[in-house]
Amino acid sequence: MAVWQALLIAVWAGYCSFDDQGPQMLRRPLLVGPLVGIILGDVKTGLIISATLELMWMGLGNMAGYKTPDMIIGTIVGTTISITSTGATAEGIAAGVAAATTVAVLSQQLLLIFDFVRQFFAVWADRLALTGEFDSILMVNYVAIAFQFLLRAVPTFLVVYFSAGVVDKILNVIPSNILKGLSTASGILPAVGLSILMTMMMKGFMWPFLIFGFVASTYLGLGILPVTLISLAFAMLYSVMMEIKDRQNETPVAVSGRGDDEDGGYDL
Amino acid sequence: MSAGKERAVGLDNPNTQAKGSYIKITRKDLNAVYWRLQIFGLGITVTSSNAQAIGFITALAPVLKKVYKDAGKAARVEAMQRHLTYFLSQNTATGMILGITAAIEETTEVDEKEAVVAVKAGMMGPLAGIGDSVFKITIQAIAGSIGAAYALQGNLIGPILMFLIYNGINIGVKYFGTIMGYEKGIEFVQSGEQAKVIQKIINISTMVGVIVLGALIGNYVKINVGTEIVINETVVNIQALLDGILPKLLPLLFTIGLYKLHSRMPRKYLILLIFGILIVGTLLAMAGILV
Repeated sequence: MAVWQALLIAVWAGYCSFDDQGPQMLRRPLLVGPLVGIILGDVKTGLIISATLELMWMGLGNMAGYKTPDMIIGTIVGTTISITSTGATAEGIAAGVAAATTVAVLSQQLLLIFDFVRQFFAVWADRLALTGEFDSILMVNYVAIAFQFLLRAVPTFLVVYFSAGVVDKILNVIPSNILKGLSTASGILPAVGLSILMTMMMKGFMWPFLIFGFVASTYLGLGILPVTLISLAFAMLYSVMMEIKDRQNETPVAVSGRGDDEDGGYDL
Repeated sequence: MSAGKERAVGLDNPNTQAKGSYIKITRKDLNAVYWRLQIFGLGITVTSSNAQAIGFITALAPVLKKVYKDAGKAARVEAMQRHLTYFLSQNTATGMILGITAAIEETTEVDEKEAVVAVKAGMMGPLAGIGDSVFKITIQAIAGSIGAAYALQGNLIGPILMFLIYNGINIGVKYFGTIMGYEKGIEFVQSGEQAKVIQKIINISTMVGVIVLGALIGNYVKINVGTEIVINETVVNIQALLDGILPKLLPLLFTIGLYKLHSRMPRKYLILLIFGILIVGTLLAMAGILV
């Protein structure tokens, strides 16, 4: 890999790092990875590995105080390693997935160490408050952006630039049936992401809807987009029906709608 | 102080306020609030002691500048300190909180500012819940799975489609949340009708999400048994047998099994789970049980 390629990837990692906490327009493997493919001149592999990681990490996000594996560095390093090893083959994708999962965890631990730097922003902001100048707070943001950028740009450059050749050598040593097994195993991993999603969405009696979607795709062979559109129409219809039912229930007793809602909750 | 007096005129007569004669904050200010939220977000300046407060005050600053234009330094310092207290919500939903806060900051007297703190604290939790379940999880997952379907075939339209769906909805809600939050003000939070509307949005998006989830399991989880048993010299392919019962039965059962496991397993063991599946899966594949 040329230095300029490693530098471009590092800059992209830095920008995505800022975006993840600021504009929040990229954040996900499928939006972060493809550009690495473009930089390295292998768009197809970039797309396939990014989509694989997207499915594996679906439903993962920083919430409720739980820090997730660092999907940004994970995706960027995983995509780089897929492309620089054997490209869009089963082995290449397997190597990318293995590298992405490992690096994402390591990077998460590493970034945790730097969390203390941000505590300084609170002290600084309190000082600025005493000036009474509202826009003085912008300065904290500029420094925070620079910090956020370097946080991932520097480690990404080091890993991407120095690991490319090494991974290829390691792959040559590993027997091919292990790599093939690894690629079969990574086909199971989307189940992890999807099951996490389930824990967040399966409130109340949602099983019939899950089975409906499953059967629509396996038996009817529908793609995700048609299933989404059908279910949207279905959900709207259901919502209207429930509203009519609610109104019928409400007429005898004129109570506030709020109490009804809490009882109804997820009773779809 | 003089600013307070000026505003008091408007407050004494609620009718003039309703007609909009008293409104100081313009669309331009609200646009500035939106842009600051869009660019700086809430996360880059997160600290343990005040969470996302620095991001919040950064976005609100254009409004505060207007409201406290004629106020003394003491009032401005107090306003800054007030908005630097703990705030924790979700990015997309915070657009609406910013809009509502702007409305309250504008219409309250200097000695009524506890209302600002109370409304912010009251909204940040519930709106974070909506933000997380609708924008972060459901829409992100649907956009991601539609995109992944194309990207797995090497089609660049995948990430582009995902980007457009995800950001179209997210940015739309962030922007119109800021504008509507200001225009509807406190009324929006307090009326039961609005709570119903929000509940309806959650219900519809959860339902769509779960149906799509079912489709995703069938599409993306790949578990195929390679073992064949010989009974009376006839080779029985187990996978063909399973497919006869229900196509993709194993992916469905395995995903449901993991779902049940998550409710018992602390989230910190998730990494071990992923590595466990990779290792056991690799071994089973090497033994020819999985293909």
